[in-house]
Amino acid sequence: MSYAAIMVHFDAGPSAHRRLHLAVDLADRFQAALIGIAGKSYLPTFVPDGLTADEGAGGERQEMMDILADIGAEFRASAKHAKDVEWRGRAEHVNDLVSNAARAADLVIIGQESELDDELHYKLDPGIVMLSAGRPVLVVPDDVDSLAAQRIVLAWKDTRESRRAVRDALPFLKEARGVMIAEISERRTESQSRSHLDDTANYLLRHGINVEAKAYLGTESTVAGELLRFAADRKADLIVAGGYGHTRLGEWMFGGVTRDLLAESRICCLFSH
Amino acid sequence: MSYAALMVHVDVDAQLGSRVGIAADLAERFRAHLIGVAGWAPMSVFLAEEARNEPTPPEAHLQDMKTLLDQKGDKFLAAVGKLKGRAEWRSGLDFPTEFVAREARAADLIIIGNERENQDPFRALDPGSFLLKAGRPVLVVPKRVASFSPRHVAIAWKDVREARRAVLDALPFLQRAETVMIVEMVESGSDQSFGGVKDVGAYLARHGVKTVAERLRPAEVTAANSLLRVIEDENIDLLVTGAYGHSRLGEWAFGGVTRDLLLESPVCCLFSH
Repeated sequence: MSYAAIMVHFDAGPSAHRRLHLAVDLADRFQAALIGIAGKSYLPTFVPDGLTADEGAGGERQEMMDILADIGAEFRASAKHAKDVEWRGRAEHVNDLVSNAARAADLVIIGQESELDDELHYKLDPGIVMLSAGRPVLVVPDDVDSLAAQRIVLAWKDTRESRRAVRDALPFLKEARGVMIAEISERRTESQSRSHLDDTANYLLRHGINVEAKAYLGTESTVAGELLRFAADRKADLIVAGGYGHTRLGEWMFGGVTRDLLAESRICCLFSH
Repeated sequence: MSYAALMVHVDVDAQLGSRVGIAADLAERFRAHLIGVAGWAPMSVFLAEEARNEPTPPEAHLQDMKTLLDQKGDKFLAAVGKLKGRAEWRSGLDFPTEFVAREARAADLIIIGNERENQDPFRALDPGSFLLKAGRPVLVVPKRVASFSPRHVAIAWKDVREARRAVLDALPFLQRAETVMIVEMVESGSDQSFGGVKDVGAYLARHGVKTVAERLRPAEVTAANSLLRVIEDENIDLLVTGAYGHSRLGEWAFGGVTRDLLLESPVCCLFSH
């Protein structure tokens, strides 16, 4: 029950090529199938009376299919060293497409922000994919092209999303040399935190994973800022965290942490919801 | 990424019942640790008659509650004696639904009953609410199920986050089953593509699970009825399904399915959210 299939969003820009390089390497390391995916759809334009949007976009649809075929050829050429490769290019809204196709993979790899699409296209929104995929989502910053994942920081908070993230990240954690847990806590006392962190560390131990360090992050700057500084100090190249949206009241505050990590992190982040 | 630790909820107001025996058998089969857990919150002072005189519950009362929980723990540990050192007991003076959800950090799978002994949130766990909070797959064992060794598993498929989660979460069961059937929950009036089902079949094949796909027979009145019919006709002993709440509009209809399955399923159900 490691990762058997890994999906990567590939839209042929320079950062997509770096992301694909990282994905090919992970697929090789986990002996997993690699699925490339891209979607393209125009923003709805003004539709005259009596015409449906589909009719209006007939020629554009063919154009999009041609572009997607080109991107697919580029994907196959760049991923030729991967053992088991599959390409999915569809003229569909990219957020829905990637979220639904996540049923085919154990891990979904996306960028911080899609760079190829101009303003006429829907962009892939990492936040939406993270909330609706039902799979862990690895967000790769634009200039990152590899992930050793030998030193990993677990951003812990006693919530459903954190519990998900810990289990989702097990294949990475098992391969790592150093795993550190950092509790993000504002109100709780340190002794309460300690028992929760001990419990999580014990859970990991039952999966054969030793935790190198446990930390309680203060809130001098922002939570995301503290996490990123801790990860840098510990020379980690991956942060595992719950991914929060703004749909529920209680998520609002942590939604800010997710947004900050998405915007500011220079290292990969694995989010679960 | 198999199940390394299981957790079973023990009712404050009932005998241990067959659920604990089923949990111990599963722990043996998966070579996993088993944690028994119970929560019992002191009655709010605002509700109690004596609140006018005593603003906090008397210490002696809390001590009595602790003693009773400890006795439950002794009974639990005696009942799962065959696990030797791999069993553990936890209890807390807290609302059971919230307490067990937080303790879920320590386990891969949580095992609960399908009905509440009473409607008192201070003493009884609310299954419907718990499914949404745990952040772990929840195996719901109906009261009349005496033993559990799933050979024929059905997946209630719907192309949404919760169902995608459920498929991933159930892998250890699916990999040990003799037959796995994917049953698509088709909404009345819609003609959905079969593509999603095929994709799930391919995903499971990559994890070494062979599946039989089957479209839902739409003759029944509700989706839950159709699933119950499949359970009966196909001799299913485990149903894997997403757990849906009523927090989002789109979940409303499926929230009803979740409730119906909780009340009426004659076999164990594994729910993910």
